[in-house]
Amino acid sequence: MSVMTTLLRRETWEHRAIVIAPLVFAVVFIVIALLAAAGAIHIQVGHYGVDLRDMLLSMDPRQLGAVMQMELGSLAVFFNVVVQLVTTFYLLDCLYAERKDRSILFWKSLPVSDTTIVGSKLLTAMLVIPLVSIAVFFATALGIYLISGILVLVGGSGAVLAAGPGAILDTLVIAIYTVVVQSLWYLPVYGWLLLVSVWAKRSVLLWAVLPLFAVTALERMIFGTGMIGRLLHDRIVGVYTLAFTQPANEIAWRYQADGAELNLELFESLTHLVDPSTFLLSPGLWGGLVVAALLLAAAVWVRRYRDET
Amino acid sequence: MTTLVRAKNLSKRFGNVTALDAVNLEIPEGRIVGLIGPNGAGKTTALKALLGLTSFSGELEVLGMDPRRERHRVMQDVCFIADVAVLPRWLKVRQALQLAEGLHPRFSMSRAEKLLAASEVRLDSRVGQLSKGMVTQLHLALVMAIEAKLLVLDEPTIGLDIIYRKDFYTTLLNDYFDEGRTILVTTHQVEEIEHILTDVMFINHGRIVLNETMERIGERFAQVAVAPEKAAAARELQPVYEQDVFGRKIFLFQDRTPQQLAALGESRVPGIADLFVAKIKGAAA
Repeated sequence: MSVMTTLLRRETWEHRAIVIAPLVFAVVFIVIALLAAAGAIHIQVGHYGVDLRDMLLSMDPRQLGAVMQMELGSLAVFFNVVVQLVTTFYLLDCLYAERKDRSILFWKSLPVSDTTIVGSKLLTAMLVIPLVSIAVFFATALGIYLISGILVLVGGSGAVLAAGPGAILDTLVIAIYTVVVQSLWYLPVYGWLLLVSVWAKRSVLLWAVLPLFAVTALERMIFGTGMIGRLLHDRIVGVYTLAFTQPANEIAWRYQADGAELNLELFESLTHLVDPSTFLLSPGLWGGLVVAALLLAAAVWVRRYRDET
Repeated sequence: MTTLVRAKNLSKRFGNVTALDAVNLEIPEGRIVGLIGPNGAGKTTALKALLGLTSFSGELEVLGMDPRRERHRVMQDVCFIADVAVLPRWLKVRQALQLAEGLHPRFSMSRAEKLLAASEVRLDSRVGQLSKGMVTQLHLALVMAIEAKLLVLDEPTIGLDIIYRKDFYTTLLNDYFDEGRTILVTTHQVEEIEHILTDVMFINHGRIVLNETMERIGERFAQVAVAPEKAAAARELQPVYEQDVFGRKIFLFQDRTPQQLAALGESRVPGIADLFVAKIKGAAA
């Protein structure tokens, strides 16, 4: 097995949250789906209960596909939030933990360069954590699809079973795309977290956050401007407006039953949202990559040359 | 014979404390060298310089490479066990073997498995569940399964009980050491390793104060128990060190002929611990 593969496996051994966190949520969602299927949970819109079966039967396949994509899409968003949390805490911990538990000299006794080690932590954040989460998301989506599909089939319609694979595939495409653009956009953030992790003697979380607040506040006090704050804000949420577009082809659909009313505007397919051109041409992306390179080089340098044992 | 380590004017300062003061030394292949010194003498600093873990001035070559610039290449042929280099608690024994196999080109899985089978360490245990002695057994098995040229041991048996300490060096000597290997070891428990050493280096205040093979130590140093009335005669031969033991004077001589000492009493080769005390305290006096 190659050195990098071994190092990536090692990260999943130490940081088991990488696998366990998405699995926990997968189980929760599957259980919710099962409870809903058993009729233990009712969907409510406003003050009115919605009869799921009745609702599904009233839709044509195109609408059904769109509804399923919306459902799976919000599931994907949820998994994405989990990915971001796991990644943040992983990066803050990974180079700090080996100093805290005094195993750093053991790791340094292995013939692996500091660049490779820091690279393995970065690849874990950019590749392993998202891939594990997408795999778990895929399995969850499949589970929910089968549960609801079979339920509706029993109720007399194969529509959900028919519309599911396409909807799952579309959501998967957009989940992978999201992960790719996020990993690139957040690279300087990852670099910063790694630098804090390798450098801070304790309280990594405070060291990661407080300096950023401090410079933002200083700028405001001294110059009365908010440039740094805006930059940071952009870095955290700016990727979505750059990488996704508002599609024109929405389909509107209205469901009405005794007392219940549901008005939905749906995208025919989530994949229409994908548009990387603005993202790839944005100075924020390329500037961020330069900053990331500097931060990562600093992290490697600190791990290589700091002598504190 | 190849020289594995060559240091010339090796120096290291922390602020105004000199940890290493222009150290010159060479370690040839196939030796077991004991680096012995009091706390703060510069032992660990010397080892860290050699392992590329700290900066220094002067020249230092390990296997012909500069450990600062080529640390990860040096580490293909150099292994180390230090009491400060602890194995991570979350690591399972099996995972430790997989790690070594994936990361070390000279690691033999079958050899490590064989060594561990002979120990109390089980493959599905976590390091955190093992006793300190068992962790050391595991670390030793990992290191012994690596075809390395130089093994550096920094206080490897500290905190272990006596049975593990004995086993540690016996295993090392019987199952690991041969002409192609070199071991550099520091320890406070000199008595434990003196019978396995081929060379001894004393370090004090960052300077090497003695650097001899064990044979030469036998030739150069003698310890004589002298009756009180002969003490004056003994002092004329300028002993390195003297002490009172049960009413008798024990003198330690350096570079005196057997003929010179014969009149004083029976002489014998001093133990490393006695020699160490004589050299370090004698220098201070």
